[in-house]
Amino acid sequence: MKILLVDDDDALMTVFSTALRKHGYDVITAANGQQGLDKAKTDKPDLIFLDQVLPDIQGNEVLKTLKEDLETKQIPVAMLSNFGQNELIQDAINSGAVDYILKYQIEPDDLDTKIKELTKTNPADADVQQPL
Amino acid sequence: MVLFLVAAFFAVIAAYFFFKSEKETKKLFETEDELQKQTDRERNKLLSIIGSMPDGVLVLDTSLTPYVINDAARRFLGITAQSPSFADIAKPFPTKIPLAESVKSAVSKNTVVTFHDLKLSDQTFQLMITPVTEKNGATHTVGVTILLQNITEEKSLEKMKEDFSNMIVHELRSPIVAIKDSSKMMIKDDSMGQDDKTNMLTLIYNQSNKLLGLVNSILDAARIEGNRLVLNKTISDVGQIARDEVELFLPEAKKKNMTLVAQISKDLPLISVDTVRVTQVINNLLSNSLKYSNEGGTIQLIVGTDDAYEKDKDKGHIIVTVKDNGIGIAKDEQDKLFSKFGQIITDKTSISTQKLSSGLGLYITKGIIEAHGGTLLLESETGQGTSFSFTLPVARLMEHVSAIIEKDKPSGEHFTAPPASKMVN
Repeated sequence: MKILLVDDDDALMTVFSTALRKHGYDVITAANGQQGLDKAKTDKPDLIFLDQVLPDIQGNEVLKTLKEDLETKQIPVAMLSNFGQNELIQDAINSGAVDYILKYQIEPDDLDTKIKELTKTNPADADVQQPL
Repeated sequence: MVLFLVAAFFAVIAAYFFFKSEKETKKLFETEDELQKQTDRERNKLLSIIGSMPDGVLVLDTSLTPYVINDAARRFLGITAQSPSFADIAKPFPTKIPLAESVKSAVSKNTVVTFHDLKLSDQTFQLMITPVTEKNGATHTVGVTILLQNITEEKSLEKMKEDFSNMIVHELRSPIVAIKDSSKMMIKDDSMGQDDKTNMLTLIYNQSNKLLGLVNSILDAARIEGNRLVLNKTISDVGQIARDEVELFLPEAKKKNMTLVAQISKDLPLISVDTVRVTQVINNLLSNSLKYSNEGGTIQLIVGTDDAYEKDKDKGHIIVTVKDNGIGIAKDEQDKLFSKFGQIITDKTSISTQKLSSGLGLYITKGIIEAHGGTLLLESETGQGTSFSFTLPVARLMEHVSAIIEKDKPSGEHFTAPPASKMVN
């Protein structure tokens, strides 16, 4: 399974990708929003972890763009954030995020379970969204 | 203070009436005339004191008729009428803080009524309504004073401090989380390959360094804020410090395909500075330039002297300039750059699209330069690049010290000091 990590925090990227590779995931990384958008299109990941604060484009804007693009709209996106304010969470969910993960709460070991959970619910969601 | 003044004012008026009724004879009429003039002078003095106070002061009698309104109060409430009515005064007050009711309550309960968060147009005020009592046989209330203190700046500072602590906590938490997670992975995973182990350890090392740097910055900023920065001054060669720093940054510049050049005057005097702190300043400025320059850009580190030094070698300054042709800094961003809360750019959600850093760098840099008696100057234009210059005063030195070290000084190109830069802060 292919996971795209979009974050400019080198340390977090190293920790996450090491943990994910250990569990057998194929990990692609992007250090900014534009790279994230490009790689989402070219690499067709099964899940995207998207940081909310990126150096070029706000994570939420990246999310909206992904959800507007027919090529990428079906890819589940989980937001990563350091900020847990309700309005931020609501914004992300409204823009189509499947989850909102606080970076300081998730353990690398939980990532595997998290991914399984997020990618499992996705096909059902996709069916609901299919036009008749 | 205000209450005292107002009370004194009423006391003078009361005294005037008291004396008026007592002295009826013609002979004393002249005295009364004198007294009248004296009272008027005192009254005018008090009114001008109240008038020029930075806080808004209003005095109303018990029938709510305005008695005194100072300039600040007029300005805060937007009163233009020469003799405003109570309605004119009460109009700008928001419905949740009704003035008439508040005044009545202050009078009837003979108590001070305070509101801490009164918004008038875009300013924040503290409102205090105090009954004025007069002792004339029995004590009775003769009116109220209304004090309007503009606390907009305090409020915004409070907000900035809050944002700042949030950011610092976040900045501290990220490396700690990374260290915690990576060490846990190493402990739990026996089968981890050597490459991954090396990666994890490098990460732990780098993140620990980052944390240490942050903690040091926070301590430095606190020292500067409390005027507790201690300088360990020694006779130093600023040119050499600059050369060493350029040397240090060359590999990084090369990696970003950037040109880093030093132009150091060969006629630099030795001056008394804290070498560690000046190194820190040059390091910070060079590191900023590298961070905000584009690939292929040029960074110049120029060290020279000012005109005052050229005229009198015991006076003037050494000028150090770090100049790049990078992204530049917009004019309206320039001022806040030097504040302790520099890089916090908040939007409605309190997070920024900018890469957050402690933002303390320039605040500390400015503090160090100013502790040396110098100035930090900024010239920048968006897209054109940025130039930071700082001055360090040339202190009178013993000639022989200068002469001894002169022999070992490497020669540099001759350099003419750039024209005085515009002061920013």
